[in-house]
Amino acid sequence: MSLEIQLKLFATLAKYTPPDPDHFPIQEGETAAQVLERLNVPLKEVKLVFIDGVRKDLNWALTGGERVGIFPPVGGG
Amino acid sequence: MMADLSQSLVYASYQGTHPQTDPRRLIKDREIGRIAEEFGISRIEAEIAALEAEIAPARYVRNMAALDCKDQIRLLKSRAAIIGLGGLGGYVAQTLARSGVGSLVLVDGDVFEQTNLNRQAFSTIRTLGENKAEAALEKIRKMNPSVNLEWEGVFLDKDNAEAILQGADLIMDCLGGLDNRVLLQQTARDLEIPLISAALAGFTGHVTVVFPGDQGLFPVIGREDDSSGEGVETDLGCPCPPVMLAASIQCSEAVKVLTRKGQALQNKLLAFDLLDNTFQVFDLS
Repeated sequence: MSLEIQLKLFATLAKYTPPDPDHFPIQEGETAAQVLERLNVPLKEVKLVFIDGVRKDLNWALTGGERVGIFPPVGGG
Repeated sequence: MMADLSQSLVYASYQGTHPQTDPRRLIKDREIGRIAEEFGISRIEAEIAALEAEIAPARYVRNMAALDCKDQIRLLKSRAAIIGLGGLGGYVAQTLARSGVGSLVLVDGDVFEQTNLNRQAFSTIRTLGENKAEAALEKIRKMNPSVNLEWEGVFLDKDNAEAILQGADLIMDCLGGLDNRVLLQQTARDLEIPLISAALAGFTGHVTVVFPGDQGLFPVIGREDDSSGEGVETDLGCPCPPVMLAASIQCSEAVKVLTRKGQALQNKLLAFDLLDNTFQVFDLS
């Protein structure tokens, strides 16, 4: 059975969004960081990681079915 | 004396026509002004006295039903410090003044320039070159002459932050960039004042409410290195619609916090991306 996540990359990171972000395939146990590296997202630009709406860090291991939201530093006013 | 005041307010009031309006008696701005002068009180005090007598200043009557007299009195008795009078701050100042937050402290050391005209509420051809806080004060006075207004034409720094923010019931973080937001949150925490922060980059924005003791947001995402202190907004720009939306959400949270209504975005981040109409509330705790 293939595992997938729903991925939302905000602001400047949106340009790394894969073709079908609502059904992005992952390996079991893959971390948020590993997923983002596969998509060439520069990890130093990642400031907030949300897994199923809750703040986690980049080393959070995914099991499939999660909603993942990623933010760079946003500060404009 | 007090009997005279409430009697004067009753005489100056009139019957409202809107069937859902409660209270039914209204009073116009000019009567508030006249009575305040006659009794040697501020316009805000006159408005509070009217509401205590169940007479609604007509300018707030469309707040009613959503907010009752007690809520409106709470707003009128509140003092909010608005830090930054650019994109967010202009709409925030205008919205809080129209809502009847009784005292506003406007703080910005910057002047309006051409590049502000795409989004900043009080930037006009006439205000180019003027201090943003001072220009805002002039415009707000025309929207709601009752509001007690103060302005400081300075940028917030570690030497002035405490003196400027002291005495506020609420702080609105309308800064641009990341640098001073950490200082602002730290000072808010030291003074035990709730803080409402918004930030934008392109069509993305987010809003959060930080109560004293909460971890908050910007100490988490502020840069550790010595770079410019700007976020990715420098790459994505600052178009007007998301700025107005974020300011509006900030003010909605402000009204809720000041009137103790609903559920504030405490330890939560309401984030939006208007390009694909994503709206999500994330848990920061």
